[in-house]
Amino acid sequence: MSQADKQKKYENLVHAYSSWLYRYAYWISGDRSVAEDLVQETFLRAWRFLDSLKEEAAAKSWLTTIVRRENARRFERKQLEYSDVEMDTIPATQSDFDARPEVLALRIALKNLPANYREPLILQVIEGYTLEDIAEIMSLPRNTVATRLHRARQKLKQQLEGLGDNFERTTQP
Amino acid sequence: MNCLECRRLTLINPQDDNPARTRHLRECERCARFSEQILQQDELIREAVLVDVPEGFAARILLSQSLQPTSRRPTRWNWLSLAASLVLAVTLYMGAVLVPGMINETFYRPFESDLVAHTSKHDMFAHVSHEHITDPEKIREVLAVSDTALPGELGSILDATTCVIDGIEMAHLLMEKDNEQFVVYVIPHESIVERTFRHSNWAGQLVNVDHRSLAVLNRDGVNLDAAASHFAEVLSTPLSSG
Repeated sequence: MSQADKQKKYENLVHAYSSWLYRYAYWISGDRSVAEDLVQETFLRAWRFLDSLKEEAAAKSWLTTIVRRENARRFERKQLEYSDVEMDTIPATQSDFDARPEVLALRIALKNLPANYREPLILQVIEGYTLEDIAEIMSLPRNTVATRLHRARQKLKQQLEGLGDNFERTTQP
Repeated sequence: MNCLECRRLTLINPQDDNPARTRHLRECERCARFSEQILQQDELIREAVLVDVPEGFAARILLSQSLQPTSRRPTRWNWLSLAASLVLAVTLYMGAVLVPGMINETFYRPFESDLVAHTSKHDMFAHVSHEHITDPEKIREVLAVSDTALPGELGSILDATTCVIDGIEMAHLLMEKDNEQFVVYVIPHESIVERTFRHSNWAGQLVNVDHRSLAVLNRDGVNLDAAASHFAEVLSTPLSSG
């Protein structure tokens, strides 16, 4: 591949996937600036290994996998534990989030979901990845992904029902 | 297809177009309503995860790539990093040889601390009598969380519950071998560095078992090796293999 072709291919990837990767990075790291760094690092790495990407169709999964690895590397570097990471404070007033009560409730419920349930759910719901795709990205057996998705939706439903009950109780005269 | 199976498939993927599920949804009003609720929940998730991407983000990425050197000649910083890495490697090697356990203490303390903290906080020894629990259904549910099949030998499980440690939901068991009791965590889908540890009056051992790992703890460390091997055998079958 010539340098010009490589540059063109790279720019296409950045324009096509940087937004998705940023959102994904945000939901696995819980922090906007970390998400930005993760995606920057991901694309720098992608540039170095772009020649190894043979199929354009596989680009998105490839980049998503790099984001995951960069995030894992961050934990190795800082000796952090997942439990040390707090999601950004749930914003009720920031203009860049949908602040409708039902959406806010769901953001809280998502935040409370264990990370290993939240991640496959986001991959499936937002990007429509199949169970097989998610299994490959997360290096897990397909059945495990199915179990996690099942539990994720179940837990979200339970949490939302709980929040609804509390909301009704606190708003009753 | 029955309602249970239909709901299971709905929770895995509410957009699943499995013909049997579709047929069941046409016939069962309650499952149809359940499926609709889950679809609405997914729609809300799509709205809830939307986060604004910083302005000019793609341009910044392209700029930082363009500033990368085309060839990577080692800089003074690279040489310093290499030297520091060598010193660290030698120190750790010496530490591992001269002070057994130093590497474990240095690198794995956070996860082990979490395990021990959780074990101390939820002291199963304090609540369980010597009678074995006899509800296989409860044990089956708990083990399913860790992708583990119900073992044939239930007698060694005295108590079973689930917990979340380090963001991972796992089975938390009290097990018995040769009249000694052990706290056992079945960590799903993880591959860890097998090791033993001592932390705050607890001794523990971490072993890998077919796509999962076990953490086996007791207070004095007596018979820990034998117990870890035994429990690894008892809990050896992953659920997802079936």
